[in-house]
Order: sequence, then structure tokens, then C-alpha cells
Amino acid sequence: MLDMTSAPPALAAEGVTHRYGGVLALDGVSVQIGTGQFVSVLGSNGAGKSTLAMVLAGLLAPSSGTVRAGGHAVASRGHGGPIAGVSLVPEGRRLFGQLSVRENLLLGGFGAGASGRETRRRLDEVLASLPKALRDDPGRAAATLSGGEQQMLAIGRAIMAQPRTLIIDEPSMGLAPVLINQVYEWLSRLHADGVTILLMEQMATHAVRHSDMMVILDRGRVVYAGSPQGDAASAALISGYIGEEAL
Amino acid sequence: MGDIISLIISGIANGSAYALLALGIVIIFRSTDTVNFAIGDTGTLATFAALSAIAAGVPIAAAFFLAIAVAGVVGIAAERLLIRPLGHGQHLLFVALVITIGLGLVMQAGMGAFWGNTPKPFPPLVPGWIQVAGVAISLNKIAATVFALIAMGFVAWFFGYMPFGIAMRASAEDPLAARMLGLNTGRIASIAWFLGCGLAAIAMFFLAAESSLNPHIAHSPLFRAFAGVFLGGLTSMPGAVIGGFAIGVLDNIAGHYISANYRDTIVFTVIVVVLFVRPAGFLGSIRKERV
Ligand SMILES: Nc1ncnc2c1ncn2[C@@H]1O[C@H](COP(=O)(O)OP(=O)(O)O)[C@@H](O)[C@H]1O
Ligand SMILES: [Mg+2]
Repeated sequence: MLDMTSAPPALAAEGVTHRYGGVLALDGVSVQIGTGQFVSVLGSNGAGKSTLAMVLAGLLAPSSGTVRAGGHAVASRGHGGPIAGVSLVPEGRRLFGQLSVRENLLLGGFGAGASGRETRRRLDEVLASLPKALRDDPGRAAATLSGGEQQMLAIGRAIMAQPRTLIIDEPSMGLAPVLINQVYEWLSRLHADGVTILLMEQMATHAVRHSDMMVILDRGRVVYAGSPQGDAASAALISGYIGEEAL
Repeated sequence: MGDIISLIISGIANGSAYALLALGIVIIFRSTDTVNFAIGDTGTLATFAALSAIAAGVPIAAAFFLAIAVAGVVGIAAERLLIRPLGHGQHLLFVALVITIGLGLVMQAGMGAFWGNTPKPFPPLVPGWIQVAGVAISLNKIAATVFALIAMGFVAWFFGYMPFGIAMRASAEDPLAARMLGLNTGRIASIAWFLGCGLAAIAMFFLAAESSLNPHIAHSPLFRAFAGVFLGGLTSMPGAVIGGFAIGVLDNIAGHYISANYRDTIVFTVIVVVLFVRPAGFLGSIRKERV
């Protein structure tokens, strides 16, 4: 376990509120993602998970409140890219369907400012962690991949940036259980390698099993933050109508 | 038979200018969702700048590259100052279109005020004529064709292999996802406008040497370039190039066998028929695929 008292959290939201026009998506959310932790944010559809993911990645300026990365307040940046050292695997993967597997990966490195040589080195490394179908034919257009392959490629593209923190939004969406296992195995390996993981999920089962900490969002508010195990956690999951199958 | 071959050869030579303009239109459209009607006038403006430079003693070859640079910079400025502030959204497509039409008209008026409306002779990059398959073709046209092919090869290589070119394709497909990776979509837009308008400058430089230079010289070639773009599909770069060359040939054949007076009518009749059969053009896709 890392000493959480001395190191500033990898990411923190302080009183973050966000409105889309009249819709209140986040309502005074404060969370801390400790360096090296695996944190799950659970909530049903519309709870505000994706909005929180975008805000914590630095891709969406909240209506009010502060985001801190490594203890420093994040200012809105010029071209609006992610916070340095943070990568987001967005909801729905958002791969470039007309680009090849290889090109999708390459852009993960290029977007993070890696040199051409460094990008090619990482590309070999990341390709090696991908399912065989992708490794064998990296020239295939991403649109032709299966859902599981696309999710793995989306994670691969994000880690091409060599992030210290990986935010991943509903990776299990639309995947068969065996593929969900593959995705979580990879996240565990990344976590073991020292990457801070922030996971947004509707399905509690896997998330609870892998997390150090669990946050439950309900209609934009944090209704639980703490251990993913125990009676309090179970009660919070039930009242949030999340993942009864976990219990 | 010899007739048709010579018509095709000179048609291809004419078509290289349309192909360059068409490619420029597609590059800008794909990366910033803007149909740039000022692209031809931007090329004309850059050619006027080259003419002034030549008059001041700059060698023609240097003036050629100067024209590319001037058009590119004007393109970047137009995108930054007029298009980008509009933001994103469906109806803005139309607003941007009207803005570029207006910009083109303002440029034509400005060029007329500054350089005058009377046609000015413009020197070819390479003077002289040669015989190709029994047809006399100006070396200027040959040079235009060669430069068009080189430029197209460069564009294919840039978009196929260079990270920046790949990033431009990605940004065209999903700008938000591109931004999420940290790709600088603003810089991508600038490079697209530089490239697109630079290609237009090459086209107008050669066209000016074919006839002469005046502020309204882009009108008819732009018309044909758009025809080529629609023929090839608004989203396809190879389609635009092939479409541009096809229009050059079609235009030549129609002018020879039917009537030079009805060239435009005939060219557009054929395009309407093609679009009736294939609304997305030969190589384009109507909607960008979403996965
Ligand atoms: N771009 C948007 N415009 C308007 N409302 C939005 C937008 N994105 C999300 N919302 C609304 O904000 C709330 C939270 O959405 P979201 O963050 O996507 O939740 P989750 O990811 O947990 O499903 C929902 O009520 C949703 O309808
Ligand atoms: Mg969501």
C-alpha cells in the first residue's frame, strides 16, 4: 500500500458541479484518486459517470469547482487536450473506424507528444499485449473489429501515451463475460505496473472485485465513497440499483 | 482515333489544374467540414503576388514557391479569423459556405483595385511546346501535369504515412476523439487550409500562364473542380483527383465534338446523370462511418 498521507492524490475533484444547459449532471462532487489506486465509480445510467470522467481527464471544464492533478489545480488548456499523464478510454471506445489498428495506436503516442522512434517502440510493446487477431493483422480497419477487440484496442491506444493515470469509461458495455474478463485482466496488469486506474461502470461485479476504493454516484451526487467490501458498501450498491448480481 | 487520343492527352493536361483544385477542396472539407469557395481566388491572389515578385526581379521558380506560401498563409488566416470562430454545428456548414463565397468576392474586388482588372500576361514556369502523340502541348501544361502528379503523390504519402496526416484523417472522422488523445485539432485545421490553398496556388499559377492573369480567372476552373469533386465524391481524395482529370477530358471532348459554346452545359449534364446513378460519387461515402 502506498502512503496516501504524503503523496498528493493523482486526481481530485473538489466541489465539482456541471450543467449541460438546464441538466445538472454533477452536483458538488468531491473525490480523491490516490496515486497507484484502483478506484471504481459506479452509478446507473445518467448518474454522471461520463461527465466526471471527462472533467477529471481535463477535457471538460466544469461549471464550477476545481480539478487537481498531482496537487496542482488544472487550468483549462489552449487546445483542450487531456491533462499530461492522464489518458481517457472514452465511453463507446471512439476508435477511428476508417483507420487501421496500427494507425489508431500510433495516434495515441503522437497525441501525447512522443517522438516517432519512441512511438514505434511503444507500438511494438502495446501490440504484444493485444489479442492475436490484432497482432497478426495491424493493418485492419478498426471498424471491422469485434466489440472485444475494439475495447482492447481502445485501451491500447490510451496506454500508447504511457499515462500515469488511466480513466476508463464503461469498458464492459456490450461485451460477453469472457471478454470482460480479458479487459479486467489487462487493467489489473496495468495497475500492478503502477498505473493509477479510475474506472466508471454500471456493472458492479468486476469493478468491486478489482478496486481499492468505490465511489457511488446517484443523479450527480456522491452517495458513497469508501471500501468496496462490507455491509455499508452492499447497502449503498442496493440503494443505487447497481449490480445486484455482485451480492 | 488520333483525334480522340489527342483530345484525351490535352484533356488530362487541362484536368491537372482541376484535379489540384479539387484535391484542395476535399482536404479542407474533410478536415474542417468547410466547403471553401474562396480557394480559387486565394490561388489567384497568390499568383498576383508571384507576378509582382517576378516584376521585382525574383526568378520564376522562386515566385512559384512564393505563390504556394502566400496562398497557404492566406488560407490559414481565413480559417483562423473567419471559420474557426463559428465553432461547430450543422447549420454552421451553410454559414461557412456563405462566408467563403463572400471572402472570394472581396478578394476579387481587392485584386481588381490593387492590380487592375485588365488581363496581364503571365510567364510560364517552363516555356516552349512539345509534340505528344502528334499533339502540340505547351511545356507549361506538361509541367502542370507533372507538378499535379507530384503534389498528389506528396498528399497521398502525407495522409498515408505521416503521423500528422494520419491525425488529420482521424480528426476528420471524430474531432472529439482526436482531442481526447491530445491531438491539436486547431493545428490540424491550419495545416489542412495551408495544403488546400497551396495546391490551389499551383493550379492558378499554371492556368495564368496558359492564358493570362486577371482577378476573375478562377471562376471557370473552380466550377469544373467542383464538378470533379462531386464526380469523385466529396470525401475521397483519390476520387477528387480522378474526377478533376475526368472533367478535363470530358470538357475537351464535349467542346470538340459537340460545341465549344455548350461545354459547361454538357459537362454538367453528365455530372447530373452520374449523381443520379451514384449520389455519393464514384469513390465517396455519403455519411462518414460511425462505429
Ligand atoms: N452533451 C450533453 N448534453 C446534455 N445533457 C447531457 C450531455 N451529456 C450528458 N448529459 C446528461 O447529463 C447527465 C449525466 O450524463 P452522463 O455523465 O453521461 O452519465 P452516465 O455516464 O453515468 O450515464 C444525464 O442526465 C445526461 O442526460
Ligand atoms: Mg456514461
